[in-house]
This record gives sequence, C-alpha cells and structure tokens, in this order.
Amino acid sequence: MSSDVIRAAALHGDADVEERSGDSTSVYAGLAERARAGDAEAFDRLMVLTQRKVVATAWRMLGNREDARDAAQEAYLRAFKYLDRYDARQDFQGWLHRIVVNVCRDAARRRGSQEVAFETERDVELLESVAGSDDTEAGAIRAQERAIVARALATLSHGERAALVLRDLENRPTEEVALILGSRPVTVRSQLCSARAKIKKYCERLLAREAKR
Amino acid sequence: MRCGRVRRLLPLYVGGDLDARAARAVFDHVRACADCAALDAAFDSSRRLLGELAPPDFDEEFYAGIRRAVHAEIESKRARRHPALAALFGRRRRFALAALAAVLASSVTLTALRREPRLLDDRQTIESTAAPETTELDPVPGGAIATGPIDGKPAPHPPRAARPTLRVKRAAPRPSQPLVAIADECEPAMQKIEIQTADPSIRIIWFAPSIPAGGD
Repeated sequence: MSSDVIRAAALHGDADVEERSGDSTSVYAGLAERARAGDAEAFDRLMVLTQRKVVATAWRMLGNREDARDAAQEAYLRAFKYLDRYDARQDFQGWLHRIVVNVCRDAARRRGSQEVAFETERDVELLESVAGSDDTEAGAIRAQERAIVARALATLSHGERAALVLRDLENRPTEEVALILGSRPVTVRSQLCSARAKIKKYCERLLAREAKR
Repeated sequence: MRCGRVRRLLPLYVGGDLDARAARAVFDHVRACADCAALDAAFDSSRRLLGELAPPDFDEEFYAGIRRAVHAEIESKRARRHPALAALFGRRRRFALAALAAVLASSVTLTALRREPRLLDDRQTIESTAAPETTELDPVPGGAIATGPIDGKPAPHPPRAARPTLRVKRAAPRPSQPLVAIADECEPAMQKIEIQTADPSIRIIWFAPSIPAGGD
C-alpha cells in the first residue's frame, strides 16, 4: 500500500486502512511527534484513530458507559501530558493502552470495590419485560448469557480481568499484553489460566441454575 | 499425558497459549478421554459467551464529546500558566534553567566558603603581631631559673617569693641563632645564659651566679 494512501487514511481517520497497511507505527509516531511539538490537530487525529479501541477497553474493564467515558478522557489527558516520554520506536497503541489499563485500575480503586457492575444486566431486565415472539426470546437468552458472563468477569481481580480483556477480547498476543501490563509473559499466562478457569466455573454454575428454572 | 496435567493446561490450550508440542499432546489426550473432552467443551462454551460481551455501539457524538473535553482541559491548563513564560520556556528549558541556577548558586557558595579561611588567617596574623606575649624568666639575684640540670648538677630552685611569670613570646621566626649565649649584661656576680630551643619562638634565659675562675 502506498505511503500516500496511508497518510490520507491517517488524515481522514480511517484506522482500518492503517491497520492493514502494516505501517501504522510510523503514522502514529509522526502524529505523536507533531502533537508533542504543540500541534493540536495532530493530537486530535490521534484520538480519532484510537478512540474506539480505547473506549472499548475501558468499558470492558469498568462495565459501564459513564465510567468508560471518564476513563478514556483521563487516559488521553495523561497521554498528552507524557507525550515526551513516548519513544517513537515503540507501538503507540500499546503505549496508550497501558495508560488506559492504569487509569481503569485507578478508577476501580477509587470506586473502592473489586466487583464491576456491568450495564448488560439492565438489558436482561428490559428484554424479560417484553412478552412475545421467538426473536425476542432468543434475544432475551443472549442478553441473559451476556449478563452471566459480565457478572463472571466482574468477579476477577484487576490483573486477571486486564489480561483476559486484552488477550481474549482484543486478541492481542501474549507478549504485547505483557508489555501493556508491565509484566512478563509467564505472569500473563498464569493470570489467563486463572481467569479462564474462574469464568468457566462461574458460567457453568449460573447456566445450570438457569436451566433448572 | 495424564488427565491431571491436561486439566491444568486446558485453560491455556483453549486460548492458544501453549507451545506446539504441549498443544499437540493436549489435543491427542482430549480426543481419547471423554472427561477431558467434556471439560474442553465447557471451556469453549464459556469463551464463546465471553466473545459476545461486546461494548455498546457508541455514536459519534459520544466520541466527539470525549475529544472536546480533552481539548478543553488542555487549553485551560495552558491558560493557567503565564502565557509569555509558557511560550518562551518549554518544560525542558525550565528544567535546564533550574539546574543551571542550582549549579551557579552552589559554586558561589563554595567560593565564598573558600575565601573565609583567608580572612581568618589575616585575623590571626593581626593578633600575633598586635600583642606579642613574651616568655621571660625574671632574674632572681643569686638564683637561677632553669628548665633542666646544668653540668650534671640539679638546677637550683628559685625562692618561693620569686615565682617566675611565664609569658610566651610568639614573635616571627628569627633566623638561626646560637643555641647558647652567655651575656654579662647583669650584675657582675650573675651570669646570664640564654638557650635557644629548637622552637625558634622559645628561648630560655638563665641567670646563674658567676663561677670564679679556678673555683668549682
């Protein structure tokens, strides 16, 4: 893919093109350099390119829209503040996601509880209140399953949840997850092992209880 | 591979986190063992459920609101600082200037401290020349005040009434002088003996009765 196409994609916020191009590192590095020099438009472009993934990670870590929005804002403010510490040789998205994970951890600590209340439970209540067609019933079952998984995820520790979200939900390689979390691959594997086992056990128990009703 | 080990490895196996050799061993065992196969299916099921946990579809206004808030916060932080200073001194320059100021302050302090001993030396010099103290042993007629035996005989003790007053002369070092000088400046019956010690500022002056010629 030509470099002109890549640059055009960056200017117009087409993140998919950059991902496919394999040259996203240089695009982000260039924008970060300009943002560091005070170019507000370059920093805005960085936010446009990364906002979906940042908000998705924050939502999966914190469980609701408002917390995810606040965490994303705080993460971008920290990224702007520490732009001079970003090394152009490293992956910008990995660096940014490390900030996001740390912000989510701090937010969870301020909340004072390990349990995260995922807003999908509200979906279940809404769907259960509607009587009628098979589509709605299938939808209700799916919503119920999502609620069960969300509850299971909420019981994990911050480290387990972060490892699971980054590895299983965002499909990042274990080594990249280790870099983002600031730990070693063996530690990440251990957290994944524990997290997956807990999720499986929790889901089995709740699904069995639902089946008995 | 035994069931116990497979059960411990299954959470990593389902996520593709085992190396090729271990993954192959688990796969072969699961195919042959019904219990482990059921466990594998349970893990797959929970992973499928996990995959359905997608965030809501946020609209563009939601994202735009985040960006607006971030820009507003950045601008407000900039406005709080003095605009001229903020424009002139970036963060690195301010740090460099602060470090330079610290180095200059410490070097000025060190220079001032080094000069102080010279001032003290000057004061000492002034003191030493202003009021020299002298050591003189007051001559006692018929007696002598000595610091040690002379010619093997014990030094005569001065009468109690005439205790010598000791004043230390700290004059500037003189060129080398004869260690002993005998002067006839006192009474003809008395002999003044001056002994210069190794310390140029200490000299022993001794008055002894003259020994008549030919006598002991």
